[in-house]
Amino acid sequence: MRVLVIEDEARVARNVARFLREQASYAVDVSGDGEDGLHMAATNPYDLIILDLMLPKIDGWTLLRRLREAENDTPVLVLTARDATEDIVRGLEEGGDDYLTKPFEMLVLAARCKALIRRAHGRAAPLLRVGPLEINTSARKVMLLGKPVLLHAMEYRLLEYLAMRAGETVSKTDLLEHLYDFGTENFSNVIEVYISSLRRKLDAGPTHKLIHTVRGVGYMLAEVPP
Amino acid sequence: MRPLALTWRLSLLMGLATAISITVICAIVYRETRELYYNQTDRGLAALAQAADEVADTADPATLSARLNVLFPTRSRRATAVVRVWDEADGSVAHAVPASGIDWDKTLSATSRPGDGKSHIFTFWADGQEYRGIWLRPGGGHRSIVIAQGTKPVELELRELLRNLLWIGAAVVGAMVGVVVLLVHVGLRPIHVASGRLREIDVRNLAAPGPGPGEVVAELSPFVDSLRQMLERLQGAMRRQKAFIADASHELRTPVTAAKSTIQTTLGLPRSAEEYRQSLAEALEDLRRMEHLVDELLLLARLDDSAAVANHEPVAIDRLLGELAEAFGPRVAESGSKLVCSLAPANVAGDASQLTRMLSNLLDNALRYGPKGGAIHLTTRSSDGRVVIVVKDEGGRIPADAIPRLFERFFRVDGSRTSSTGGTGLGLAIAREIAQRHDGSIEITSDPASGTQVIVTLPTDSRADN
Repeated sequence: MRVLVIEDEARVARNVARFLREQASYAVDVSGDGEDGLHMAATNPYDLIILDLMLPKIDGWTLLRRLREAENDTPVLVLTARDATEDIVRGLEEGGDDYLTKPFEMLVLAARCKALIRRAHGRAAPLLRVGPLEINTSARKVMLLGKPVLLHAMEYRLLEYLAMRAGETVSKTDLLEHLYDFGTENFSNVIEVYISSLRRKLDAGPTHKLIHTVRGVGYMLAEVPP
Repeated sequence: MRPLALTWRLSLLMGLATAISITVICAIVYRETRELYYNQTDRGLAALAQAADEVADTADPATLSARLNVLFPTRSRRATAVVRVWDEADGSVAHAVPASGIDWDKTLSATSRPGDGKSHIFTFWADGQEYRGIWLRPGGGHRSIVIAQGTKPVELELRELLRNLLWIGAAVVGAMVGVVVLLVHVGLRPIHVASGRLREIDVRNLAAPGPGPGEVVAELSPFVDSLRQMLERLQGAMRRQKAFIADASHELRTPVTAAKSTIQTTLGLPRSAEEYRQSLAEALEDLRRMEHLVDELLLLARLDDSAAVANHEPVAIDRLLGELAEAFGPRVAESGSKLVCSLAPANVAGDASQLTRMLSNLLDNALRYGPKGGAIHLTTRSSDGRVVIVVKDEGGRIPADAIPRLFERFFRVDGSRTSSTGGTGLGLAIAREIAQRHDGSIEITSDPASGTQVIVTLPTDSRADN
């Protein structure tokens, strides 16, 4: 999952990014003003945008309206110190999906991010099941045939994304765009490397192959091959 | 229930005034009528007496009696007049109606006897009623004639008149009171309407519609207009207050949010000692920001509280600015700027700590918003009883429409609410409050050629002139 934080208070933006990377295994980009933020939101397929309202250059409401006018459906969580009823109503009515006022609890923010992303993928339950595989997105715990599987952060990020879109073929470009932020170095065969290590860790025997390669297109997480 | 009290007061006043005038009018009418009646009676009596005198020009008592009997029949049932014709010399009575029942000796002795050829009008009591009579002494003989009439019918008429007058008077007084009550009620109705509208107005809803222009009578419209203006002023003040509170809470939450997010993120995972130290330093910095903001908010609140400066100590602005320049030295050096001071003696009377605050806010702004490495000019001079302080930097042009708003609390030229420059957005608001409390003024000019300059003008301390 890749999140964009548009927040002009640099320290808050940095902390949110760090917390979501560490505690939710998200890739996070940060933008410090409305103009840059709108540009980034329009040119990258984010899974969630965290938006402050009082921004230099373009304010949050305008940004939100322009984003929705351009038919961008990315979930937007408005994160602002403005707590007046009319601000909250306006924030949601311009196209926001959630509203959290500052100062806020980091854990609440992370939980709301997870819920919004879940919903955006058409899921309500935090527990994703694919055959013998269970992914608890709240606790970031993976169980295979009832036994815990230990994954690196990037491996978990990849698995969670594939699991959210289980049964769908996910292209390598999609994976690169949703798993990496601008701050992370990646190399050309990075996806193949993580896919193969995931396959090794999720090996439940020849009858339970879970990650399938769709030749020339991408990958699919499913109980049965396409 | 004040309007009701007014109704009763006006009614009472009007009733009393009407009653007094009606009483006076009735008294005059009654008196005039009474006099008219009696004059008429007296003229009638005089005419009768004349007639009696004319028929009485005979010496023969029998003829006299017969003639008088034609004029004043003794047996007439309807006789109302009392008549007595007699000879004063021998006391013989030529004619008397009624024949008896009146003690003439007593009656006549109670009044003065008219002279020869004279008559006079007198009243007397007899037979249980009052009589008005005329006593005529024609002269040339001893004859005397008294013609009298009971006043009872006249008095009854007059009493009837008085009763009617009283009824009419009471009706008029009642009608006047009614009209007053009605007038007051009608006159006060616009006030009731207006106060009904005013009742809808409260702090949350100052914009409730007052009575429209058509609903108010001309006499009340100045009152309603000033109420409306007062409401507009209150509304403006409430709006500014609300905006200020919203801004202040935003500004206060920003450092809290930053510190809290730093601490929560740091506590999320085990960190190295260096990372903990770094996080604590950042949190401390945010706390300092908050402390500074709280200080400024409290100072503003205190400035708002008092209209004038309590302290009037002599303050040498030039020396104060020199000391500040020294204190700002390290920050100036850090930013690579330089201070150019041109400080002529400038003495004012006021609160030294407030003036220091004002000057340091201006200096701080110049450092914060002026270009790095530029020069900041500090100038003081005094002329014509005014001290002029100029703080000038080489900063770029501030948009002309933003200049008047620079002194608004939390106003920032770039529109963002955050302090990328580190200022609280209150510095100039505080500076202006302080300048105004010292009977001074503050203004800002900005253009690309000469940079941005803040000019403070204060009255010179009169005691320090020499």
